[in-house]
Amino acid sequence: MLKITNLSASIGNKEILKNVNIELEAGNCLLVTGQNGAGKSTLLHAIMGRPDINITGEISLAANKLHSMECHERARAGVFLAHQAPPTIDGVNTMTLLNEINKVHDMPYTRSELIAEASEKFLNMQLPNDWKKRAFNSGASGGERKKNELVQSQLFKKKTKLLLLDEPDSGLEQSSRQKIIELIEETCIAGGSVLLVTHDKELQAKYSNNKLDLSNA
Amino acid sequence: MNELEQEYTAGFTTKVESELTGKGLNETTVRLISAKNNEPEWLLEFRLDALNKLSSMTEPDWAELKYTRPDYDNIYYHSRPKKQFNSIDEVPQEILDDFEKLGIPLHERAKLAGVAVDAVFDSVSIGTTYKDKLAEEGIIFCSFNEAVQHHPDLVKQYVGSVVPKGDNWFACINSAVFSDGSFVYIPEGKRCPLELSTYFRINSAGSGQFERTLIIADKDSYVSYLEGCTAPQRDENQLHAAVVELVALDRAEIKYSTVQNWYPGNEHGVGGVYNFVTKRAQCRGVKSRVSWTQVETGSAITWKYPSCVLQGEGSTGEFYSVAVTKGHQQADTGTKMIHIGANTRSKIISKGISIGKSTMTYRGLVRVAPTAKNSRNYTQCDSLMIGNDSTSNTVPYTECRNDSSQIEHEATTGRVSEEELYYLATRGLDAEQAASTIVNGFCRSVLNTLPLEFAAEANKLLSVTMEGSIG
Repeated sequence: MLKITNLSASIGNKEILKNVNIELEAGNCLLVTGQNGAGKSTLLHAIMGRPDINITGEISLAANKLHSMECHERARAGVFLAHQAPPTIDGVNTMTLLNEINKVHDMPYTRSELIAEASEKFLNMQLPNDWKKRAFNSGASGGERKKNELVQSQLFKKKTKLLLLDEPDSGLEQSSRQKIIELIEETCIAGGSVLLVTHDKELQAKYSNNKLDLSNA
Repeated sequence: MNELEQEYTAGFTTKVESELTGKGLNETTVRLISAKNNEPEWLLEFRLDALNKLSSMTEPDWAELKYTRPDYDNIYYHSRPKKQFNSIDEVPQEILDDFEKLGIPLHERAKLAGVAVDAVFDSVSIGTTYKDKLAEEGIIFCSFNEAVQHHPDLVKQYVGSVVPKGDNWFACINSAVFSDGSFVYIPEGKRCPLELSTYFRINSAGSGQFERTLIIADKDSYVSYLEGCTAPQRDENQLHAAVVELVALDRAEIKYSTVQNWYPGNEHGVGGVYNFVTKRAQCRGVKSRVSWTQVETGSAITWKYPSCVLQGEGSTGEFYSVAVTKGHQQADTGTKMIHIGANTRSKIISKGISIGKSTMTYRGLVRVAPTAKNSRNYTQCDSLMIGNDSTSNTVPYTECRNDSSQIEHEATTGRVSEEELYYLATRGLDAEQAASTIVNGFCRSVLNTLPLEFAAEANKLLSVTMEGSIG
């Protein structure tokens, strides 16, 4: 389970979160709401361990004390963040990067399995034919970048204990919403937890029975 | 790729009694070196003429390099182990161990398969492997001094014919005081069956290394050659001013690869090798071909522009370069492609990576003469900066003097952002893995051109550490 105790977060001199407490059982999804600037994204990045966010308080995921781990260690411990605005990484081929990610996650796939799985998922998301050979997110639209995040979330969900979804729907067509729902359901069934930040009314409605409003935090 | 070379691992010193002579850049030194090598009169004249030319020259200052000028009168121009030896069996065990530690076994029983090696320790060549096997094919591969003794006509005909004595300050110094180096001659119609390789090592303190390499590929021949370099870790700067001359006759092909890993100095920018090198190839024959591939990761200062003079009709010159600077290293490197013959082709792919407080400059010249009708050049020049304190410059010069030729130039400059590094961290890659992934992706097109045997070494060298470079 995810347990966050008295979490405060600041960037530079600006305090963004104050005394946030969360207890989320394995297999559950928590909808994070709040007006713009309430710190929804900051909460996800604070859990992920972005280096420029200073935190006090404790974040633990099962036996892992995330707050004292580096970002890449948290990722290896099963925290997976689907970014809101993923960057382009020039020169790094998409498949090469997936292969590196596969390696640091103790090879859930063999190399050929990974290529087959990734190809199928890219196709399924209607990403361009040469997507896996391109430099990572090179020349990609906002929507394509988000699809790339969803594909990775799906690929590595076996290893994911905590899935952080930062506006996974923005820039995507309505039909992709179902894929997001499937991803959440599958992650929960496999015993993972999900934190969801979204502006999509339908997704909000679907997960509103378990929500955290940061407006007052 | 998982192995990280955070520290300079070739920085040890070999305890061998050396004889250091020839202090100061003057006629006494020049005569002493020539006498020690038992050189013919014409070569002494060559050296003295260079020394004479030097008196009217000045050290170049146009490069993007900041360094204290070497005190040329305080350098020993000749250093060799005290004990003389005539074959590898007589070479002191310490020196053999030294090369062995660097992965270059010289003993017959442990020789590298498929690679013939000439090992140069300070000023002298201490041994060449597979010499006899190559001789059976008529291929000459030996130290420069041996070539002067046994093949004087070839040396006399070609030395200084590609890089003239007075070409530039550093080439001129080399022409006056060069000590040893490698000599290669591939006879007409021969494909050299082995990779040829020279391994350079500066060991003695206070000495410089001024080697001279001359490679001649006769008509319809082929050779692939690699040089590697290391030096002990020392607080003072060591000077390395080499000259490399390549001559390709009709339809001959020379592939020349360099993996340069001279000591770069410590994290405060103290010490390190000053690497001032003149490398030039002349494609004299029709349809001759020369390609330079370099992986440059060492040296405090690098000043180096391996060039091709494309004289023969239909000749081709290529330059593939990966240069990485970190800490306080500075590199000003690139190439010159001089098109003279008609239908000549050249290709330049340069990848520069600067990390930490280092400075990287690409400097290139593409000149197409009026006679070089229907010639083509393609240049791709990319630079990548990691961290916020590194600097990168691109200085391309192009001159096209006829209207049937084409010059294409593409350049990109990028800085690896903290956002990208964070993204990779969120996928579980630590800083070193993230840097390696980015750097390798960036350099792939050049690394693919290296001979297979050396690609692994180059990859290892490029596994750079990001520690302290992000901020």
